[in-house]
Amino acid sequence: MQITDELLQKLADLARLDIPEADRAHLKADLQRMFNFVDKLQELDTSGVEPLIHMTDELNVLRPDEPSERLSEEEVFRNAPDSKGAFFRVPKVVKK
Amino acid sequence: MAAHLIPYEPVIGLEVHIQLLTGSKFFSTEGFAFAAPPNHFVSPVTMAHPGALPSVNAECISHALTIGLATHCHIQRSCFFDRKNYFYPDLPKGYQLTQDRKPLCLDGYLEVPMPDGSLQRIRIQRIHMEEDAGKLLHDQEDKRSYVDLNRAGVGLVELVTYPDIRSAEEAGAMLAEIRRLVRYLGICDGNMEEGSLRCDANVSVRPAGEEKLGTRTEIKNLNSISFLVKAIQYETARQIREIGEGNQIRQETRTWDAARQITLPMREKESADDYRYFPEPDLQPLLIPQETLDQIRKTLPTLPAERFSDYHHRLKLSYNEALTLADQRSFSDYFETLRTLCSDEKSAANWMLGPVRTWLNEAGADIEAFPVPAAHFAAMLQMVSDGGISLHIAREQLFPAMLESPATPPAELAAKLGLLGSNGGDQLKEVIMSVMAEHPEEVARFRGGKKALMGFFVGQVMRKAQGKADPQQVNQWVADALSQP
Repeated sequence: MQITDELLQKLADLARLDIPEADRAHLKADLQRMFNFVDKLQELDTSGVEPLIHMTDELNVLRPDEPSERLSEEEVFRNAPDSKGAFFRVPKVVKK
Repeated sequence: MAAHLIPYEPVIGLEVHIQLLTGSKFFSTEGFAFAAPPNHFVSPVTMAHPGALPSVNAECISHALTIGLATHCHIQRSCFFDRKNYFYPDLPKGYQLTQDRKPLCLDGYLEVPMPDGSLQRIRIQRIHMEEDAGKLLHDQEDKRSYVDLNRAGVGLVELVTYPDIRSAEEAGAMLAEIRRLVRYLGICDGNMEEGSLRCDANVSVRPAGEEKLGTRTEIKNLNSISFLVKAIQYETARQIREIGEGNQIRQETRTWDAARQITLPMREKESADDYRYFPEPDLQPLLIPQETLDQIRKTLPTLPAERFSDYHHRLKLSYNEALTLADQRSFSDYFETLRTLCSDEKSAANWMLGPVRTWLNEAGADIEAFPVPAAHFAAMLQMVSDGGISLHIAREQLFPAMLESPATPPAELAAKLGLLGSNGGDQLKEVIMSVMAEHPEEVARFRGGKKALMGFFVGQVMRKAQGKADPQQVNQWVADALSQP
């Protein structure tokens, strides 16, 4: 698969990354190498092999339904860039 | 033929979000409550602090299995969670934990009571588990949105129907049945105003008889059953009109404007969605043990639709009466107990729908607060059907007295209040008349001169009055009644 400028831009948009013009060429090259690596793996015939989704054999790791500590108001907003009253405040995220 | 002359039929499917009734959230351990102060119920997991890991609330799984089994779904015992990736401030993690590839429940159905009294089967495509998102307020400021994360992470199941629904009224009946069901099962409070039950509708139209589906729109923000019905009615008419005018239906998300009673295209998020689902690596997969399924299946109550059908078809109650009696599980459970204790089920039903409901409405209470034990209620009904007391006196005097002194057996109360004795003239007369009606031969022999039968009649009346009538009064009235031709 060929990494195009458009694909790089789309991935950046999805990840909410603002990639400076100067970084694009080497990022594109890096990404291309990763894709080539995966392409290589895909040459292997894995038909009939169940995908390995989880890395442990553990199943049904559940906890009882008991409410425990929540964060204090001070802790909640300690790392928030912006808040107003008891709300977080973010740039407007719908079209008018 | 002009397009608007062809009869069109709507094709409707519902997506219902059911907020699970639990003490803590699905993947994080803090509690939550509707209308709490903003950002009151927040933890490091909800905030997506680095290193904070999710954990699965067992009760959410159990609730999801309960509705899956109650709706006759196939349970995918082996399943897992997926990440649905999107950047939006309602979930700080940047993804929603959900089930995409392997939902817990597949291919079920619900039998839905329709106004003609029939049960119609609406098929369910899937029920999957996921977490709820936080709430955004867009109208506080021009350039900012406000975020409240109390709801973020709360357990949900999403139930998706097949497009089996053919009218707005059927859609309303389906949603009402889902609400009844989740309340019966105790997995959700079913409160649509507070958003613990939310419904989106997919609506398209096609010429009647046509197989192919038309282009559909999705209507969101339907927070009551009546809004769902009205929105589908409006949307169906709008689509038929558009097609009649030669326009294409645009596949889009619309919202119901309750003030103007119309659907409108919705404001959309800034970028096109590309969710890039993948299996959640921070949570282990599930393998639901067969014993768990068996155990939950054993606890399932008789479902509201079955009760409705029984009340409507066997007890011959009207559609509305049957639905009212089946609507709330505790109310219906009380009746189910009552009917096993008394001989006249129909009159027990009428008492539930009449005096009991009136009392509950006036007290603003649920049946749990109704003080009279079912056994006493049944004894009172028995006195009425045996003629020991008239229906009128039972309703006006004995029933209110029972509400005052619920621990006292009704026969004792009736005696204390003299409802069977000298003050209960009407009832006593009714008892005497019924005894005479049951023994025409003895009446004829008495009138023929066999006066010794007097004792027989008095004995019968006293027995029917459960020994609470005044014997002197009974003697005199029986004599009077027998001497009249």
